[in-house]
Amino acid sequence: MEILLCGGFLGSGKTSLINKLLHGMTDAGLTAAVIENEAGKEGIDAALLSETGIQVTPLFGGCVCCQISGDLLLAARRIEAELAPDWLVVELTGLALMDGIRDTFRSYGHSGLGLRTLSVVDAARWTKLRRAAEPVVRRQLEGADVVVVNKADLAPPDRTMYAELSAYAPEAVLLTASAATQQPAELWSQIQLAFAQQEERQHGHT
Amino acid sequence: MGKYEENLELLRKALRCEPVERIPVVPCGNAYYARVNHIVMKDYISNFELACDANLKEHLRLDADGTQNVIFSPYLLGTQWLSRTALPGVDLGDDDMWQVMEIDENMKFEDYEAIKEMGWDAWQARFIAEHCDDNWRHLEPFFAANPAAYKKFYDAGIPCICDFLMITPFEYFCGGRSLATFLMDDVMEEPELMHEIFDMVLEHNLKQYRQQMIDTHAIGVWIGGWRTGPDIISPSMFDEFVWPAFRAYYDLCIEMDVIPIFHLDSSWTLLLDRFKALKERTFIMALDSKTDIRKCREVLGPNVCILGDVPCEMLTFSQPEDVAGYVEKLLDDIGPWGVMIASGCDIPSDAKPENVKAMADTAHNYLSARK
Repeated sequence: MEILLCGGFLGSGKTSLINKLLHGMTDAGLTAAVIENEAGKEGIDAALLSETGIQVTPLFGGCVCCQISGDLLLAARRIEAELAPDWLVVELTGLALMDGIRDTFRSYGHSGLGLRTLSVVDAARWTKLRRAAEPVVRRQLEGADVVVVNKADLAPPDRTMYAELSAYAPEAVLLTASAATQQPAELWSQIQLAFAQQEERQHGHT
Repeated sequence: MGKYEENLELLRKALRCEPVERIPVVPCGNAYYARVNHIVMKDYISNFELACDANLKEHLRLDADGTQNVIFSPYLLGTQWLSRTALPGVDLGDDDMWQVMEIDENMKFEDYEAIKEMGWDAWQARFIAEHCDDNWRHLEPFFAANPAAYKKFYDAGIPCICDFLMITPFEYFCGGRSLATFLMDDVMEEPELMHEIFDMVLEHNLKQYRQQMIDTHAIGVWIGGWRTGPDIISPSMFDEFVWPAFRAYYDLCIEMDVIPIFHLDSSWTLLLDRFKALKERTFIMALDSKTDIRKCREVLGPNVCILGDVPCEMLTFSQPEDVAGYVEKLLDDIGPWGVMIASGCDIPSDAKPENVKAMADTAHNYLSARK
């Protein structure tokens, strides 16, 4: 089972992206399950869930701080044992700090648990968000394998934005997307390619 | 002196960083208390007698020297972040954990003007009634159950060192407006308005907290740093918008002889030096294992009490001997005086009871093992 941790601020387009990725995965014949860690928002595409039988596990964590890393890992272990999907997609709350959760999975998860991390950034709000909340932006990006610059159709990212993102996440592969309008298959293959590139980079460094 | 008074004096000695007879253990972990007693979350958050008995039973099993709360209601969370809270048995499955809902702009920007017109108290009462599931009304049974719960812990000899929470203005609005919107549109674009509103809230809260300290005969309070640490905001934003409230709340505690406990989530390592402005031996730094606790000792010196910080993940996934090793090393490095042992933040709901027991036993046996 491969785990995809998907983070990013509220409004960055995480749910749209995940909906498209799930479509892309199932169209490609893969099985998937979802953990949703965000309460009170528009959820995963209901039609997709009923068509494909994808199971969504809600996971809530008190005040969203100390509880969530361990609970996520326990839920992932349960899903692996009971459903064994090809992919487990975890939608993190906008307040989750990716690197801490990744560290918990690496410290306490078993070695066969493949873990990918993806941060979604809203291209239109990047400059303002970075200025206002630099520390949390940094924490969300530092742990990412892939950074998706989303809503590029609304605000095409420029070189400065790419340079800034690369400075926060030098190991990550950056890709531009418009999750709301792109075809699922196209988006899914973009993401797969990005993960493959990131893996190559990692191996190149070792 | 009865057991309650003995334990309270033990905790006060630890606060003052004086030698103690044994290292105090002061747990906090509501969802864990429910799980370890096989109580469904829906019942735990609505039947306070059941919840109190469960909490007390676990404290007695651990031979705890104090507690950080006698009962708990998740409706409190909605009041401190001006949000709805998804609840087991209401919005969630009967045994799910509660969670604060992240909704973009539960509170609108225009609400700031309404606060100025109505005053903070009247505005928040109306807002919480209309937009946060009428939390104050739902909290009435919780407040009504508190005296009996305190009595049970008193009779068992276990003092509570957190009688209520002191909330900074920043916490309310970063929840109500949602974090990114609050930081981008409010703090960055309208700093003067924010200062005006924050001053109003602070002035009101100081009056209210003073009265609460009198009414509850408070021993201690949490000053919460949940979303205001350097993992979330910049040090300069903290200095300008958060520290003034921290300082005012601390000063009120000292004036009222109440113990200020800085409950700090995530890593505060970068801001530890700010707390050097406070008087030694008067406050507690409660850290959640993300802050470098050894750095905290180094920066603040031997005369500041530190509470913490057995990592949550360790309590869930490790073995008792790992937990024991962690606590021993921690006490070797930052103790033995001026330390209270607890989990970093709440004990997680899925913690192994044998790990929690190992945490308590190792702390309690630490000094005698070295005689």
